[in-house]
Amino acid sequence: MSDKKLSKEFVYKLDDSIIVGSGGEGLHVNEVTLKAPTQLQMKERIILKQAVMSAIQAQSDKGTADEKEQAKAATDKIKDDDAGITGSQIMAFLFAFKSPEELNKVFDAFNTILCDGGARISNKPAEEFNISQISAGDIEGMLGEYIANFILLSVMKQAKKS
Amino acid sequence: MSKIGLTNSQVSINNIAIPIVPNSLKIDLGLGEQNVKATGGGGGNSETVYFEDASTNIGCVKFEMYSTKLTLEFHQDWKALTNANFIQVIDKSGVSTSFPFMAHTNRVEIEIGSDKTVPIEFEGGVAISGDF
Repeated sequence: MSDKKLSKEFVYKLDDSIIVGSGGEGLHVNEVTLKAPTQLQMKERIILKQAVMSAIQAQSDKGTADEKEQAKAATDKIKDDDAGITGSQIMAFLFAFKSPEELNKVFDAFNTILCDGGARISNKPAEEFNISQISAGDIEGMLGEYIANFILLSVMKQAKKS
Repeated sequence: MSKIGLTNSQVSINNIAIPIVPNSLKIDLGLGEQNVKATGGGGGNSETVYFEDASTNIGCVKFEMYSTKLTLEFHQDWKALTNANFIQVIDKSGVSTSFPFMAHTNRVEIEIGSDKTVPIEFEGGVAISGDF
């Protein structure tokens, strides 16, 4: 069983800053603090976790010989605590092996997490209006890192058991 | 240059999207009033003198909200913040305007009844325009 502890939060640096009102003026902010999901976000967490696991399975089932090899390597990497799979690798995986409809559900779930206490901007809970200003590229990057930091550990644990 | 009308703007005050009555939003960028006077130079010549009245450089945002509990709460919160409200107006056509240091200035009478609306007014800093 992994000894790696689940991190509680991490800071994501945005490529495109957003404007956040504070004390009467608009501040350009380029950092979002993402917090680990809680019981309140269990439903959304399940959607994200299942997306990763089913993408790995899809690559293993439907992929070419090379892709099956990559799926095995990815699974081995996930089982290896120190491999450090990155957020962008996770997103490339999801985009390759999930349908647009499934990806929309994943992004909707992530948006719900962000607006429901899962993100802080300028030391305050992020409001939906602020989240809506974040660029598409940054949302994709944040989702990848969120999965890498908070979701993958439980995927690793289950992969080790199998 | 865009010829799309400004029809569907989202208003955010202190980072919270505000549910306003459609077609009720009015904004004044705070560019103020100017006066032009003519001076006579004799012999039929004249020149104009341009005056800027800086005292009118005040940004203004007005809209209506339906009479609800939420409206009452917002009204109290905005008054409590004096002139530390920050307003962003983003239109579907791409116009984005921010108003810093806004004060909720008007006296508000909450009408109780069906379909009643409440006029809300803010005045404060000159607008900062975003992408067009």
